[in-house]
Amino acid sequence: MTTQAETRIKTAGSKKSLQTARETWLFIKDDYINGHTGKAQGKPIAWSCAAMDKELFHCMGILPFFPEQYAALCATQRRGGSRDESVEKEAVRFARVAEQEDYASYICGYQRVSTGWVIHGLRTGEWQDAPIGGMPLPDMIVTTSCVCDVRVKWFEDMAQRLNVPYFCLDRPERIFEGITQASAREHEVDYYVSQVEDFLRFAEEVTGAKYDPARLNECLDWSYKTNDARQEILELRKAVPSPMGCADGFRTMYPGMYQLGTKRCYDFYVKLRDEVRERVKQGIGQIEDERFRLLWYGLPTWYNMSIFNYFEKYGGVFVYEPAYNPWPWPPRRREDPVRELANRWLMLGTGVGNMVNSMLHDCQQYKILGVVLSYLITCRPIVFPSLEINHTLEKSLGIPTVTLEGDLVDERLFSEAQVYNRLDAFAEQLLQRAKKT
Amino acid sequence: MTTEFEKYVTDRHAAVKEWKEKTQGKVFGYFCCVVPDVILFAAGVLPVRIYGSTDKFQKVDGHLVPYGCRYVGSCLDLGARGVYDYLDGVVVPNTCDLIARMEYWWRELVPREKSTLAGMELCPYVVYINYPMKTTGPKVLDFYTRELQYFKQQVERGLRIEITDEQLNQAIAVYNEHFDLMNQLEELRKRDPLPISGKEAWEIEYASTLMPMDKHNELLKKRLNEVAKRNNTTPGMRLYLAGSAFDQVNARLYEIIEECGGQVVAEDISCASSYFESNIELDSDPVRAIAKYSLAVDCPRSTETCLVGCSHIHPQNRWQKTKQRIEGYRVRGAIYQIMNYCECRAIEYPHLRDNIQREFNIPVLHMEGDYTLEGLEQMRGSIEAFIEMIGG
Amino acid sequence: MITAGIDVGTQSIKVVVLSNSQILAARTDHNCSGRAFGLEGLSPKACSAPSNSSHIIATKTLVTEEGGAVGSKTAMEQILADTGLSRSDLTYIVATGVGRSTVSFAQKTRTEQLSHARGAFYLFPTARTVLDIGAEGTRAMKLDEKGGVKNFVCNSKCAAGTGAFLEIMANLLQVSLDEVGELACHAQHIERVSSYCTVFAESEVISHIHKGKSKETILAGIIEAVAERSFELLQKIGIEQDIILSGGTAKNIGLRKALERMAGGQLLCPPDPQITGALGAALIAQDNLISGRR
Repeated sequence: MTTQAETRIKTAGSKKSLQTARETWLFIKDDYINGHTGKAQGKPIAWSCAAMDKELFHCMGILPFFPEQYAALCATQRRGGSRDESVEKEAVRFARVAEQEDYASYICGYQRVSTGWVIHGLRTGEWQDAPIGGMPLPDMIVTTSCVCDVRVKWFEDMAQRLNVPYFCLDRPERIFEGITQASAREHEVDYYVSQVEDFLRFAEEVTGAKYDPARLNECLDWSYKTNDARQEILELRKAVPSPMGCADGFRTMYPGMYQLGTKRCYDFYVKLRDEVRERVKQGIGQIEDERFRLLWYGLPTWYNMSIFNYFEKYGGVFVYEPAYNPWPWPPRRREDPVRELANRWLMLGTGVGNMVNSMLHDCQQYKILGVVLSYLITCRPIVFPSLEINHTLEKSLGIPTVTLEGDLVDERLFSEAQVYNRLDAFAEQLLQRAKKT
Repeated sequence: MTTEFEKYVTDRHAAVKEWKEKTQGKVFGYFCCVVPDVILFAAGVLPVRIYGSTDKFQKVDGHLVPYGCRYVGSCLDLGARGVYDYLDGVVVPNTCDLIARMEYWWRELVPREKSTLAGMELCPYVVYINYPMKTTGPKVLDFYTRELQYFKQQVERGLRIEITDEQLNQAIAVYNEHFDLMNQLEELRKRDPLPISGKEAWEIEYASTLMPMDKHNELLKKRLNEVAKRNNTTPGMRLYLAGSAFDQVNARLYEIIEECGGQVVAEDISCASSYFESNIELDSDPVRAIAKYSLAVDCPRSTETCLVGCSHIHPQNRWQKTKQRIEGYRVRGAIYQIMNYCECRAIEYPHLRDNIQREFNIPVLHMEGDYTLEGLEQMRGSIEAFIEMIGG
Repeated sequence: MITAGIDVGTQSIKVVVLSNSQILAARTDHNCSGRAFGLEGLSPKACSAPSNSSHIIATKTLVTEEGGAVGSKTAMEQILADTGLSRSDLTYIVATGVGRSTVSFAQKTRTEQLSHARGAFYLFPTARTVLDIGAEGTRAMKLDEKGGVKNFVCNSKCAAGTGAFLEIMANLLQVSLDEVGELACHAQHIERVSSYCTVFAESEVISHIHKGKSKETILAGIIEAVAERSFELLQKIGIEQDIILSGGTAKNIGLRKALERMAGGQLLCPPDPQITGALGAALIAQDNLISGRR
């Protein structure tokens, strides 16, 4: 008979080190309660994506919700809140709905799950038959071309199904590595500025509200302060022993990713920073006997967050995850907040070479002994640099990597037998290296 | 007898090298039909579309992750193996997540001697075009015009020439003639009985992406005259074909469809149709005119803003284009062969399928391709069943 | 008017001889295992009432090492011998199945989709959805009220969810294919097995074996995986009753029960689901003769 402990492995939640991390769920729940209440009161709701500038919503009084975040939520919950391990997570239920409609199974898990929920809702009217009662339905759908093509077509598709206004904030992302790409070119910044201005006009038209630059500046003030706090946290996480791991990291990214530009978000990170600072001061690590430090590259397997605790039995801890973490911003330009947003995004190079260089830097900064490459087979842009990272880390720093195949939200694509076999072998390899260093 | 067009299907590399040998000219390779190869033509360069092959990967497996588009991987593998060594430049547009990254990988895996001055490459080999995702809107054209001016400057620097407005306008005239001729070909395909097979029509279009456009125009005019006079009919159930990357590998599907009793009369494939649906409207600024045309090339990746509810038909949207392609061709069924990991087409498919069924009352067959001949062969059963089902 | 349908599959060759909608004989030959049996006197009514189904008039073991071309000839000769008919008595022959193009003596070929649909509709005139889980592929067909195919879907290239998948897993567990369904029915619970990749599934099964899990529970998991993939096809095509289960794998009682549970209703199954394709081909031969289409 399969033991309870064994059945939990594939789809279990993680053990968090930080109190603030455990409280993030309340933050999320409040957002949804406020969203449903706000919708009932006639407040405009937008569905948007991680790479969008949230301040633009907050300054216009729009409540943003995020299908990708909702899909991740669905990956952690079973129907009706069931704890029965044999019941699939809700993400799988909705992914199946999308696949029945002939959306290919290799498309991003976020897309399949959220689109599946939309189709289910449109067919049955039972929008609440979903985790946390579902997202409040949108008055507009707003995406950006940044990061991947999927988010544009996916949002366009949802907007057509829901028959709501749709906007794509086209960001001329700097994927390329070419010689003059130390900074964005003027026409790229100009274009992005025009896109933001275009969005503000769109938002005014849809909501009837007026854009106020002072209000945007207010939101950006909070964003910049939040970013400073988050940069501090990232510095603190370099400490040995590691005060805050990836389980905490992925949980606490929510406010910064989805509610940036609000005081509430800033307060959250101040609290988190203070907790991490205290742990560093007292030398409290994730585990007592930290023997090797790992970096998780890529997005997590949301249905199985326990993987971030997996190496603990070997003395290994995940200390850092590049995904969802902010980069240092240039100084504030209050006189032109829209151009400031453009510069903030376009300073980033997101090509393969840039990603590889970032990894080299991060591994040194965080004293990493091994890297887990999260090869989520339906999230290609994040995964593209994986083999280059693998070669470069090995060659330049002698850091080994292991690949873990799965999906963001679809547990059907995760094979415990294969994955844990690999991780066990990797742990043994790292223990040997740890002895030598 | 192998026609001039077929020569490019059989061995495009040999055909292009032959041109290069004879003329001592330069050849630039490019990905995707949105690339304004007219600018390269104006520069006296032969622009050739980069395609893949059925060869097993030899060089890229250590660099490209699996679960990614095999077509693009194949293109890169050919480059890395030196098969594309005759290229003097490579143009990479930002037209899909993987193709955009070919700018990195082509530089890494297909090394060329570089000479730089203060960090600037004196003779750029890989040139990137940041193609916008939105193709309409107030400032899109301004942005893209500047992007193409930048592109033109890189080409000029690489070739140590100046591309004048006059040269651009002359090139535009040649390309507009091509679009016009291709549209005449499409008109012929509306005829019943059908005077030209889908495969032959594809060959003509495919060859145009590999040979000098003025030469292609001359040959095409002759072929059009001949096709228009044909008495023999090309049998087969009239079908619409859509899908990704229909180069000479995927084009095997045309033959399989024919062998199963079908005949492709209209299509939406990344090699054809979208490319010649509009003309380059002359403008005092030819680069701007070319930018406007390039934005109008229908691509599944492109998007539009919809201010009011999205159920209204936006003139640029993909369904309108699909409808235009099917109307008038008396099509009895639609076949979608979407390559694995071609996400833009995969996401739009259910929407297009529903609209096709509703508008034209024809069935739609959806198959997933893996860019192998074996994979295409496996589709034979489904295609046969599809044609049987319709009544073939 | 006597017609014949021959279904050349991956693992077996089935032949049905039909006379004016009365099945005169049916034969299934296995390429490798060589087991053969025939059926006689099937009428549509008899088939729709499983308790009154065919009776076997002969069982034979036929070992064939050659592929479809030779195997189909042999199977045809054998059935002619069974019925006392000669080749010239057969007015029209239609071949179906993955090896249909190798049947040189067939006047026409038809795909499995149409053949299975036609055969299922003959046996069950209320059939609106047909699910054929073959050795090499699974397909679901949607029928109209006249038995015409309105739409169909097939499994993607992977073996996961097909008869071949079951066979690979059965071999791993060292049980015969025939035992799989019965054993699975005795399981108290299911050990989950990946339905998405045969390689993943194999490693999971091996892992379950090493952990000492029972064959029954593992087989139940394997069957669940196949049922899931098949059910996905049904959902894609849209489920409409009555649903007919066709193909050799339909004999697997465990699989049927799993599918019925998922579909929330009974699945109808011919007494010999393996011959449905050949029957459909023979009927199509008749249809062609009647309509004058050759």
